Amino acid sequence: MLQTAKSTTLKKRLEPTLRELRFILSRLKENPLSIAGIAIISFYAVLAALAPVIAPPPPKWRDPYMIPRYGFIPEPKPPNEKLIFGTTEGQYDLFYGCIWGARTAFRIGLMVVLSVALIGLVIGSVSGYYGGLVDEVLMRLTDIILSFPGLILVMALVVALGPSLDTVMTGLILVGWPSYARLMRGEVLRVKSQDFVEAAKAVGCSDFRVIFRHIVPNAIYPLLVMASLDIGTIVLSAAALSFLGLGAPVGYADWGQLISLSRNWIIGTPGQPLKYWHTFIIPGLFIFTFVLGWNLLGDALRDVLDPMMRRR
Amino acid sequence: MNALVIVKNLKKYFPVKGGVFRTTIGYVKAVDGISLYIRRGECLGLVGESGCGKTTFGKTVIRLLKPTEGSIYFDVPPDVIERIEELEKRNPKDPELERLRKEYDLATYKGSRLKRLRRRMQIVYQDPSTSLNPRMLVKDIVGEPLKVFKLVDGNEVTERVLATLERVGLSEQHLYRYPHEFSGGQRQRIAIARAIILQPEFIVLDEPTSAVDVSVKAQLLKLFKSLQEDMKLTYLFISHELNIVESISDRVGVMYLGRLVELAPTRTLFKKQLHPYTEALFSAIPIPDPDAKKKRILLRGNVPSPVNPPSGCRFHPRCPYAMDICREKEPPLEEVESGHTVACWLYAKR
Amino acid sequence: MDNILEVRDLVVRFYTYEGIVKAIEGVNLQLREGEVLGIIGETGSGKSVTALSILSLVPPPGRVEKGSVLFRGRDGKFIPILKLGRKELQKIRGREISIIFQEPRAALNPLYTIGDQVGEVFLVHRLKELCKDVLDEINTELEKAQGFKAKVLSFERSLYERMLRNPESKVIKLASKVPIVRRFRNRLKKAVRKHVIELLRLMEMPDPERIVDMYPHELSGGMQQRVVIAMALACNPKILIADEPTTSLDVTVQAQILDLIRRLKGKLRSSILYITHDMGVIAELCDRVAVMYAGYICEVAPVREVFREPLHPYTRGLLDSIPMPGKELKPIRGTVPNLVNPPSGCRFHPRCPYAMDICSKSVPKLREVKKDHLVACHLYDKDGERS
Repeated sequence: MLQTAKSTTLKKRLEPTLRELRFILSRLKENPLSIAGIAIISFYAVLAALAPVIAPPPPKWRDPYMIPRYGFIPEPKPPNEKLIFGTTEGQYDLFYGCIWGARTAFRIGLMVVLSVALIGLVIGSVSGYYGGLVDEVLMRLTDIILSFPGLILVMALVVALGPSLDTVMTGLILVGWPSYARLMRGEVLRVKSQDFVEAAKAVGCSDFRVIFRHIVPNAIYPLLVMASLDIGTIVLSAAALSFLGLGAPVGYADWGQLISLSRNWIIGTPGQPLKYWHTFIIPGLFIFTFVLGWNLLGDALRDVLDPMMRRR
Repeated sequence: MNALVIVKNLKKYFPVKGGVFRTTIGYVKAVDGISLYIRRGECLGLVGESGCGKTTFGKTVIRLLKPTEGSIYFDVPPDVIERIEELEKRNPKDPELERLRKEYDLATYKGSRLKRLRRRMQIVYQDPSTSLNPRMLVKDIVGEPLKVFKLVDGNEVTERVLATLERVGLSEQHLYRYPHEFSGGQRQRIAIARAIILQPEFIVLDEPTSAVDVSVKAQLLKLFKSLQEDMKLTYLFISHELNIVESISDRVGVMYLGRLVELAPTRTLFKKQLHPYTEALFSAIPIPDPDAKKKRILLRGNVPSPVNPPSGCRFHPRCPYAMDICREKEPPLEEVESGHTVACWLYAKR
Repeated sequence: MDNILEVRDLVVRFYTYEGIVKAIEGVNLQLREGEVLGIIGETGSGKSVTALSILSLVPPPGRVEKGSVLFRGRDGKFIPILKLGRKELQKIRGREISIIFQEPRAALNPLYTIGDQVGEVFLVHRLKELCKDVLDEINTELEKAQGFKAKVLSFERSLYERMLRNPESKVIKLASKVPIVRRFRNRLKKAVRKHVIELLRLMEMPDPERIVDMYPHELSGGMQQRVVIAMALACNPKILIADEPTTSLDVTVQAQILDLIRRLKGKLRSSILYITHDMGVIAELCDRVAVMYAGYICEVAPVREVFREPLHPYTRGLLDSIPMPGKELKPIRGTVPNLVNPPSGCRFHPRCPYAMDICSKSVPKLREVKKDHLVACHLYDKDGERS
């Protein structure tokens, strides 16, 4: 008896959320570009999930993220029947690298963005809600970080901590949260002045409850849009750092790393400038389409969430 | 006298910041010295135009805002009040007075004492589309007070919420919905349910019928009256709609620019207005009767800014009967006839 | 009295995610010349949509599905407003038919002075008149001028004559951009300013010369609304549509504005379509009133009739729900219907204390039941008597 009661209440609770989701999906369907974005990301998600199947690591391979090599000659080999994308400098399997690189891209993108969003949310909310000295101190902190050119600061941090993917992520997180904090603070200030926030206080809610149960759910939308647009940017920054040699180690399955390996071969030979096109164009295309997918999704989310907000 | 709420010389100023260093360059004197009492079980109406401070007054009385000056006594035994008044007259700095104030005066409350107050005093806002969290289900909005005070747990919350919703005229099918799926009148009922679920003693109704349709106003009014009877509630009914105030209030106070200019039993006030502002205000309301002949008093000018209220009687620049003394001194609020108080030099005893 | 505006069988629907909102279903309305017709209704009654339809201003996702709006132009012939193209509509909007809305703050651009905004109406709609005034002025000055000054004046005259003939002339547009030459517009600006000040004085605004140079945020709500009314009346329109213009104002300010409208009503010979939800305002200002509910017109009658003897149950319910001292409060039970899935037949039947079987089956037609008193209710179907 109690079980059925609980399950019906659960269903009833979810109904309105499902209605909202259905509304968002229908809005998204109207925009063909957003469908393209979702398709691209889904494609990469499947690719990343099925990486061990599509590009299985050689038997007894220790770290699947290290790309297998087929030889040691520096000159990259063009695509052939055995190696679909060919090899890059040092005979690393380009196909393997690109497929497992999708996993790396998701890992970097999602981890960094989730962390920055979380940190920015907490700091921005506290700053916007309490105002006064707390607000001043936290905002000056964001000012300090924002006054540095972002990528340069990350580079400095990475060099200081020792180049690796983890330090790249740490650096990106440390440099990325201020924009989220600023955005969140602005939204919190807007929502804070609405009647229902005061009504929550009138009912006896603690500050914590007011912030996280009342203000944040109403202020979070721009943050979601920023986050989805940012995943692409983060992946690009990580790729840039890897290209400069400050990210993943040589031979790691990371798209930026792969392009870094093609550095010496971009120009090609005097008669054939694009002889080694596969070494940089293929990983470049992967990065390009991945970032494009997230950008399209972010744009679509913004278009959808805006009328939904207005509908309220 | 069975007074539930006693307010003495309540003031609420909002600082105006300006200049390069954002220093305080002035104050918006939203509430500038109001004293009144509300009897247990009564409905005190408070009328005035926008900017007169009535909403600020309502929010300050239930301590949503911290008073700049003045005292608020809620459910304090009459002998204690007498003692406080006695001490105030004799020696304002008396330590016993300090002690009594710390214990009874709401203006001094903070933290958990203030939170406990919330159970006994509630508020219903004017605009139900902004007073309900758009991202919360109705069940959670109405059930939140119970959770905050940990009065009941789990399934009982839903039961209590359902019972309260039914009391205000809603039903089970409304539980798992978002506020935007309802009409204005229904949303206001949700707000009322939220206010009464803790069974408070005193409710501030801040223009609760202003943002809804004409036919809904009457429905809500009926609901307020029946709730007051069943739950023995005391109301402070703030509104600018005079006919609504008339139908529910026992006494009515008129505010202008942060001060009380007239206060009287409803029937008395609506039959005869003493203060020139009240007279003008009442004459301005359009009467739904095409044959009613009305002398309309049109006031000159606009309501002055509460940052710099006029000297003396605040109404004197617009008053058709202004005298010299009106410019110089502010008239005290005095009882002119039985229960009818007015602050105007035309009626002052001296 | 002739009809100056006729709305015939108007149907407006909104195509939203939640479904098709049947906002107005077959509205018939006549506005007589020189009268003040009030439209009273609550949320969802369709009164604002009706007002917007008259000027073909219904925003998407709204669409006028059927019906026509006929406006008797200056030559006495009816103009079908909903069929007009943009250019013709521009000649009607703001000049023959004006509309004022509830929020004066929303109607006034915060970046331009009052003078600029009111003046814009003159420049758009009364340019020829202004040019003629300026030309008269130039001609008088030319009689006394000599030499260089005379040359300048005749150059200005030629420009203004060209403007009079063809306001869209490319030469004028070019001249307005060339520095020094474009100073010829100063005369026009002065003429506009004079008219604006006169108009503001007509609106009973204190100190119009100062207000002309102020920005909207420097004025109070009542003053702003007067400016909006001034802009609406600048061209002496034949019809003024007022959509709840005093709802957002204080009671004492509302009294001032209502007074002003009443006085202007006499002076300007415009017909007014006044939309409100306040019965008191209707009683004070209007000659006839149309009661709307959920997209239909329930009752149309002279104001006194409606208050003394309301025929439609909804009208009766509305009047009964106004709290009056000594009278018992009788609210109308139920809520306004969802217009995506409105009740069948008469949309008021679920809330009507006199509902009969036929009420849920067929929509009652608006019929003249007494002299000049129309009702749409099955109670009066047979022979004008209540059954």
